Amino acid sequence: MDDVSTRSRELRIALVGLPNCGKTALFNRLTGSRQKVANYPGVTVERKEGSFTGPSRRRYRVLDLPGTYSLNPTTLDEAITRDVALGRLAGEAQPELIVLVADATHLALSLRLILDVQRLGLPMIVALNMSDIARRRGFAIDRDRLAQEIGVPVVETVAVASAGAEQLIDQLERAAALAPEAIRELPQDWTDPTATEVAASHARARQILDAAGYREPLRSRLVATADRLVMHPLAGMVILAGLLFLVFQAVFSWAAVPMDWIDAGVGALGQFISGTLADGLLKSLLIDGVLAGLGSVVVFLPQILVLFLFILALEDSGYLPRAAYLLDRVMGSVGLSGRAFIPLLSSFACAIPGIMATRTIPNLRDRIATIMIAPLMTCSARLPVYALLIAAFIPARSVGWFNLQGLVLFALYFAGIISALIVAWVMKRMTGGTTYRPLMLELPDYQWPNLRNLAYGLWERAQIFLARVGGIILALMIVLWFLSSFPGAPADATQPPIYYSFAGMIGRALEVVFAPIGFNWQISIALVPGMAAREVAVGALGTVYAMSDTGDLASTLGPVIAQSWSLATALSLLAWYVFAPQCLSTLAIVKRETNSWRYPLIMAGYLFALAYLAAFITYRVALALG
Amino acid sequence: MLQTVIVALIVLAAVAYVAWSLWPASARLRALQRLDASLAPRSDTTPPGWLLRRVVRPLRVRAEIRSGCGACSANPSAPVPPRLVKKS
Repeated sequence: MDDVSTRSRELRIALVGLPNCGKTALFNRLTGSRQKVANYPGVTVERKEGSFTGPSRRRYRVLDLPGTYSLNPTTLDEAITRDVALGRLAGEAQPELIVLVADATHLALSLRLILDVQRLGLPMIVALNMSDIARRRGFAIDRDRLAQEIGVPVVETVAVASAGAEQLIDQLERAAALAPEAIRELPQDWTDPTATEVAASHARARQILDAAGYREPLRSRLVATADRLVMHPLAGMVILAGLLFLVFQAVFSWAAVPMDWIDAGVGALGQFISGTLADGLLKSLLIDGVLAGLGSVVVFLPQILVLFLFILALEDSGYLPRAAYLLDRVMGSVGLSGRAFIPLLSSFACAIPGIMATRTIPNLRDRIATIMIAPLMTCSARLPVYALLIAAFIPARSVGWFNLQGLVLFALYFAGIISALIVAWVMKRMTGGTTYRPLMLELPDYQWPNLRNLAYGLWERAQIFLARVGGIILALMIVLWFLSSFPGAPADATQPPIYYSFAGMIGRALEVVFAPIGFNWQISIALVPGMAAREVAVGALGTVYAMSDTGDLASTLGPVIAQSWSLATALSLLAWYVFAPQCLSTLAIVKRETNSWRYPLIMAGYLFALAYLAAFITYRVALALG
Repeated sequence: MLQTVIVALIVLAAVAYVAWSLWPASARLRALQRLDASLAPRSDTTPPGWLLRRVVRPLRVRAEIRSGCGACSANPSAPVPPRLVKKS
């Protein structure tokens, strides 16, 4: 093979390592912004794939695999790492080189994985990641001796630093020339190690560490003191509650100014279109359909970004695993596995990655219980609905130090969490499985959130939100405008034209079902496209009210519904949205993850029943209290 | 009259997009694979060839990567299709 073609050929690299050892940070460092994220078909876990070009112009395709402690998997995500490494996964070629990302602060654990992966016979490079943190804590090792003992190159990396992967790329370039030849000589058979082999591997790891003069990094006194406070059963809970209060206060107060800008922008665009186009169908479509619908949804972008700013900052800081530890006892008391915390936490962004993350739960019954309650966590799609109703019906005044609107938002999130715990408890009682399985996780050091990660995470969230607004929400608003415009009103009409339209007919038919919980025909119309995704209902309300007599633009939807609805109706709709499974994608992924229609049907049934019951009680109590 | 035609086209496109988006992902993938196979022998310069190159193939690539239910656009781990590199 000539030199040019050798260099242009891609080399497949897999990043393997313990959970939370910095694989993804290293992956991002290596691949920059060109990475893509993909799911394997079937019952698999996600993996990330990206590529980069080395100094020699050779191209590397990098796979970031789920974290694992060994190649003897106990969960679905660990199984995928083993299967990719062995080349057993359909549609995925075996990697030609393994970069084993070893956490320098937990080298003994990583070394056992290194010895396990060595049995594959693939070329390997060990990246001693987080070596800066380890050194600050007194870590020491003779790197050359370590490399000599395990027989593979060892480089130190700091994946979060700008030059943190240079040595690794150097080593990759050297190994690249040998890798394709080495893979042809791989052993074809793989058997899981026996207990004796595992014990021997542990002993060998200890021996290697001794030979390499390993000094274990000490735990920082400051971190230990902070942990005593943060993970204290009482003080820790107070800190957690305080943080959550701060988040929900900020969602309303910090986002107000940019929301006003967007509102003004939508209004100005409406004025421009109104002044430019002659009256007719196109003008009605653009103003009443597109602008009214999209304007009422897009205005919530700043609130979503403020919420994610806090979530991302807490993730990056190392606080969330402590919160998981803190809440483990609460989760255990309702029969949930400690491992359910991370999937449930992910569900605050969107239930779909949360449900996918349940693959890390080894027990099937625990996994199903976690899947069934994941939609009760308040996903970001509910935020526009909550924010719209709170801004319209809850006065923006202070209660002590707190903003009343922020307190109501906090209460809605809290209602979701408490309901999830109650449902989990009932489910566990019904299925008879109440064995408590404690959470075991490595606690990372505290660190300041990385600004680049924060900026990238927020950019990603903004893109996701705007893609939905410009895609399915826009299309649904156009269809809804059509259904709300045709057929036209009869000559002797006493109601607005939308009342006589297809949408009006649907809304009036559904009103029979929803009238006992206080929903009028306009809300009933909005619930139908809202099945595609929760925030679509906000856009639909914008379009429906713009098509009604009020004729207001979407940017003024809040005041319009404040005049049209009673407080009881607004509270009832809030209660409905705490429970209602108004997201077809969530039900679809439950079917896929459980490989059965039974669970999504049970989920939809129990969540709709809870939503109706909660809305009914809220509406009747609110009416009774006047 | 022109306004009516434009609005009709926009509404039809929106209906098609909503129907396509809400159709099960596996059915979408199967349909695209069949369409790709039936159009495959056409030249790039003919209308079916152009349709294949500009519409069907990119949609198929996207559907293959996003065929899972994890493809919900609200999902931050939802995959992004690779960039289509133009041949020089």
